[in-house]
Amino acid sequence: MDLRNSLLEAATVLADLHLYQASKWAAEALNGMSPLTQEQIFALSQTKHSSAKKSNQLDPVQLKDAERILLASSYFNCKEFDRCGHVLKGCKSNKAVFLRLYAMYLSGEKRKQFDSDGVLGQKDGKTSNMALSQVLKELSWCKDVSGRLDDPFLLYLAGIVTLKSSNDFRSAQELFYQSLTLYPFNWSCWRELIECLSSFQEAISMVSKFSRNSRFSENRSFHVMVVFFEVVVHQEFFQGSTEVNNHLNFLLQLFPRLSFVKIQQALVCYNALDYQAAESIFDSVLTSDPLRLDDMDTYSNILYVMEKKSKLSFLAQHALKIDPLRPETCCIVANYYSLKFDHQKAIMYYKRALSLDRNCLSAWTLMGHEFVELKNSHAAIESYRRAVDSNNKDFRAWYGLGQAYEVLDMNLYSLYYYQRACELKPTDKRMWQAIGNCCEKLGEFEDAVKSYKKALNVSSETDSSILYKLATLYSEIGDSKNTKSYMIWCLNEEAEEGATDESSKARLWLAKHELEAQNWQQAYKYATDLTYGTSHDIEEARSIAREAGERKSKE
Amino acid sequence: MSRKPIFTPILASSKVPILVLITGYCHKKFPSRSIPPILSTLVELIEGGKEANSTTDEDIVSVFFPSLNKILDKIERAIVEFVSSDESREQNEAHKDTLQVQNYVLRKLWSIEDIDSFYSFLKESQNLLVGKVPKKSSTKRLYSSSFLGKFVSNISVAANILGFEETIKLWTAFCDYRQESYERWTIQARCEHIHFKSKQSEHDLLVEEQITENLDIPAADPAPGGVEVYSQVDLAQLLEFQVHKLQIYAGKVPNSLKMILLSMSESQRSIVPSSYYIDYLEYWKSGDYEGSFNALHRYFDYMMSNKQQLFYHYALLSLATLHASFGSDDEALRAIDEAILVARENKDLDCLNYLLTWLFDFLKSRPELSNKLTSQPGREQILQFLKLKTKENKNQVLQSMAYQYEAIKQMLEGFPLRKVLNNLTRAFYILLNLDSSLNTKLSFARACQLAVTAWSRVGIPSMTRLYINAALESAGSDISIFDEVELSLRRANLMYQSGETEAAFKLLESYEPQVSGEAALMKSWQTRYMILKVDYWLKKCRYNQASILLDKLRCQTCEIQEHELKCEVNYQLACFQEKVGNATEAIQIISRELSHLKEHEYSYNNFWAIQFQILYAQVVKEHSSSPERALSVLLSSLKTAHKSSLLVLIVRATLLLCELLLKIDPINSAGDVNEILRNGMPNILMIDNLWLSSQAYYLLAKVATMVPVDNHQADQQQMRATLDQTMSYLQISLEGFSKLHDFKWIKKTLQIQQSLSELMRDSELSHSCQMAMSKLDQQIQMEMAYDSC
Repeated sequence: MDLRNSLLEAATVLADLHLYQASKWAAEALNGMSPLTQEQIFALSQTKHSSAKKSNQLDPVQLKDAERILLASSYFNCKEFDRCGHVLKGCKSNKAVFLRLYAMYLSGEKRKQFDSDGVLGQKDGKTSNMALSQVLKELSWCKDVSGRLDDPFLLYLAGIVTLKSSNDFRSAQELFYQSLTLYPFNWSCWRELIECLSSFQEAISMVSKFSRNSRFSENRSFHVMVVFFEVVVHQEFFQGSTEVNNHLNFLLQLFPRLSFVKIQQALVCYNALDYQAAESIFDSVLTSDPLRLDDMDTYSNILYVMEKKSKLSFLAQHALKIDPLRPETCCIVANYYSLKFDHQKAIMYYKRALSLDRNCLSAWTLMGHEFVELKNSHAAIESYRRAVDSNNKDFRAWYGLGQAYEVLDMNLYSLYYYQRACELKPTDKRMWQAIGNCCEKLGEFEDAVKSYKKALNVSSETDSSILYKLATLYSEIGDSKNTKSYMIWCLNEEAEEGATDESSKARLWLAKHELEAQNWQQAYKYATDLTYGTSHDIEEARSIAREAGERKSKE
Repeated sequence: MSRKPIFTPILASSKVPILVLITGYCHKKFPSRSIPPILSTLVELIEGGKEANSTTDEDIVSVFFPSLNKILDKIERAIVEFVSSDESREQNEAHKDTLQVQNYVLRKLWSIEDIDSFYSFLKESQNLLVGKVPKKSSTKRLYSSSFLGKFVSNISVAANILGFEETIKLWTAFCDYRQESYERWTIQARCEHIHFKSKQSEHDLLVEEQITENLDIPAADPAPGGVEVYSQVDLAQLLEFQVHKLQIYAGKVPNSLKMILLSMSESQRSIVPSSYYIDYLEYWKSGDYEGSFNALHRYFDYMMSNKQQLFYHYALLSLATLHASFGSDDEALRAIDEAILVARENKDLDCLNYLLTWLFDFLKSRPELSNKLTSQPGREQILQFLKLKTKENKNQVLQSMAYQYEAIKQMLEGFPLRKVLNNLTRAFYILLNLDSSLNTKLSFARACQLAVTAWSRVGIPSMTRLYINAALESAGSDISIFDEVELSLRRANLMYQSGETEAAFKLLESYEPQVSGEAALMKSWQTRYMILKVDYWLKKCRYNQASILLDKLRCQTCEIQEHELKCEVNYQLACFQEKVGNATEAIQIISRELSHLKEHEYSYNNFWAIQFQILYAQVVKEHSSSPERALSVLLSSLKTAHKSSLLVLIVRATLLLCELLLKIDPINSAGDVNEILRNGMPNILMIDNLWLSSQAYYLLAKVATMVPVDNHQADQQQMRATLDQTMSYLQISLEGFSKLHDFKWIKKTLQIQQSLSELMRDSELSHSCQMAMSKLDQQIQMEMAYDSC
């Protein structure tokens, strides 16, 4: 019940402060809880009655500012941010100060976007919010007046402004932490905190910090928010574990109807490459909440990977029906066109998504992929760079940068970006393969060997292409023993997965090797067993078999 | 319930089955014997309304945007017709082939199960083109410059530029479009045990169904009646066709097209500005000046935004035409002045030539305005310029018109007939050597009308009839309603002159339903009808009724833009005054008209000048105490009419001269009059004017009775013969005037008959003449008292 009350109150308070996304989250969470029983409803009405009396006793300062706050709110709702700020000049209450500074900040953001001259335009990414310094100044004045900032929302705003103005992640994290300690139901603040965590270690230490804080460990409602935080952090850093699943189950019990939790579950499955499970969860979310567009762009990514064109087209149609001017909608349509190899249209829709929301990370990354398809490496690099600037936790953008530089034969750059990607997803063999490939191109064969071995280790199944690669690398180094052993290992994989290009090449190498070592029988066996491969390889195998056969018969 | 229209540049729902047919053709899915009719059906469908027959009653919208069932029926018809033309083939082959083709089309259309398949189908159409994909041996490829290839290429390009939102709309419209064939399809699917395996799993389909069911956004749902996608290119062509039809054949805008225009938003209409031109024509038809004005401006505003300066002089031309048709002559002049200036600046010689012909025609009907036009060259210079420049620019139709206008000018100025015919012949020669396009046919019809005028004034009715028939037959069903009505008016006039009064009025009245919906046509038809009616009633002595009609005509004079028609109205006015005994009034009207005609060179009209002069002479003869004053006028008229070979006027003047001579000196003139009449009789009969020929016979009979008796006593037999001949003249005259219901002249004839009967001492005849005259007097009294109340 405490949690319910807290969420109810949070939804109202946050809405009052025009923190709509946070308010929406709180309201969704509230409605995601199990329906109340009759007794609970009665108990709630009783508690509401008594708390209403308390809450009616307004802070006198706030009471003085009430009318102006009301007027300012109406201007805010009409998106007249400057006017909103102007009305609140001289107001002293925390709410008024927050509203004024928040309006100032948003006004600055609006101008910044206006001046940016379109997505990937000349000034795109180069304009800044001119209001940040003023907001910071005012916040520091507030701090000077009262000794410290004790309003959670001012702290939250301070965190945002600090982050945007100076990229000072540490300070921003501290401010968000303080804000959440005072008011943990501001989901926007949690989101901002997650955005400024640059590594999983940092994230875990932040989780621990919250867990150590007695406010969170002693209060169940507060603790729930930390659980949410932990789940999202694990998901965002692609870290699945039993603990995460337990947390998810716990949250599902508390919030059986909350789509957010189900989406997190789906995203965990997605990160673990379990696309079918992810798809199934998204299906159930859409069926129960068909007007939801949040995270549907991720769902479209899943459908893209599964190559489900019809379903993706349905999703696009569905999203357009709900709201054609959402970045998620544009991303879904763009994914559909990408799947149809209509790269120009895909780019157009990604750009549209970014016009609507410059911080739409997935749009930047996916647009980068489209530019790669169109062989426009420079545009691809810019898109990926914008993606990592928005959120440096997305391994795909780093990986894309690596690929783009690789196409330009800038292998050292490429290596750096692959390493960044690998840091974020160390259990993905593709990262290690990419690093290995780069090292090979740079002539660093030993490092390449290490990378490919790592790739083999993290891979759940033995990949014959990696084995073959290792063999060739050892061959470059001159380590014939290891070369041979990896070639044999590669060949042995035929028993599992059948003949592949690599296993055929391995067989051919072994045939040549045995021929050179004058092991005619072995050479003959290897050569004659080669039935799969290019005509050139098969021809070569036949000639080896002939030669081995002749030599064998001569003996 | 009306469907909501959606517009795309090229794609339309009706193009999808056409694409399916082409796909089937390329993939060799049809029996080879059915290929020719399929190809001809494709040509018909792709060409759409371009080849549509203007006079067909078929709904024009369905021609440009055929329904699926219509396409399937077209295929069937084409195959059946093709097979039936080949006697070696059996009819059941046609049925078999038809089913195969139709089934293929339906199968293909109904296999498109979702928006992804639909989009893929459109996009993959490019694979039918040469060079797009490696050639597969079994598939025919089309060159993008070929007829079918161009269509496919357009579809492919259109699909490439489609946004997803448009794709959804197209898909929704396509689902609505094919729905009408659902029954046909289900029967076929059942017969052939067709069951499409969906690309999606059942689970996915179920999920999608559930999501759609749970989604409740009324605003996002398609329009209740469904949607229809129209291609802007085709719609613009459809509207152009409708404009052409309205301009040439009048008529109404079909309801199906009206529904589309009504359901279009303002921004949609701006993409196809011709929709405003249709509005303009509708308003113009109903005589709504303000509505026409606004619609015309809107049309050109949107055209300007597409074509910029190029259209300005055309816009001014349309404005001038609008003003002229509503009688705002000054405004029309201003507009045409500027149009000429702009056309010159833009060096658009074709348009300039057309503008000058328009100006010539305009001023011909309004000679009083010639003085106001100081910035433009005179009539002669315009004609010289036109003849030269139209030849230079090889604009043969306008060149022909230049010669026609030269002929008109010569007719107005009283040039000899050979010169007029010279120019007419040149005009016809040019037209007859052109291809028989619609434009040429219409120009030929107009040229024939001019020839009709020329020959009717000359007085050779057979030639007049020949040109009327030539105009009507050459144009056939393509004839413009305006030309048809005009030619029928002339035919009715001819019939009236030759005495077929009832038939003439019947012919005129038969056009009333057609002209009643068109303000301009109605004006022209009504005026001519009333003029004929006035003439008829004047003959019948129904003066009250004639007066009412004349009052109406007089009020409408300011609205009558044709100078010739104005002259005719004033002529009838003068005749009326003369008939009712107001000689002074009649003389005033005639004098006023003559002074207008002789005001300056452009206002002179040779035919009417002579006509009024003859009327003047008649009034003087009838009502003046010194009728001999009319002699000089008559002789001058005769001379002028003779110069221009205007036989009708020569006859009229001659007969009046005879009457005058008989009035001045009956005894001594009888012999001269007799000779004049006998010499002139062939011409009098040739012009086939019943009234004039009846008058001639009357005069012949009259002079016969004036010959002194003693001259005839010597030869009783000869006298008997003369008397019999005179009686026969009288009889012919009587029959003629009776047919024309000219009671006054019937009475005159009866008077002669009576005096002759007294001479012959035929009391019976005398008595019957008296009885007839008495009845006639009563009839005349009745007619004179006849009132509409």
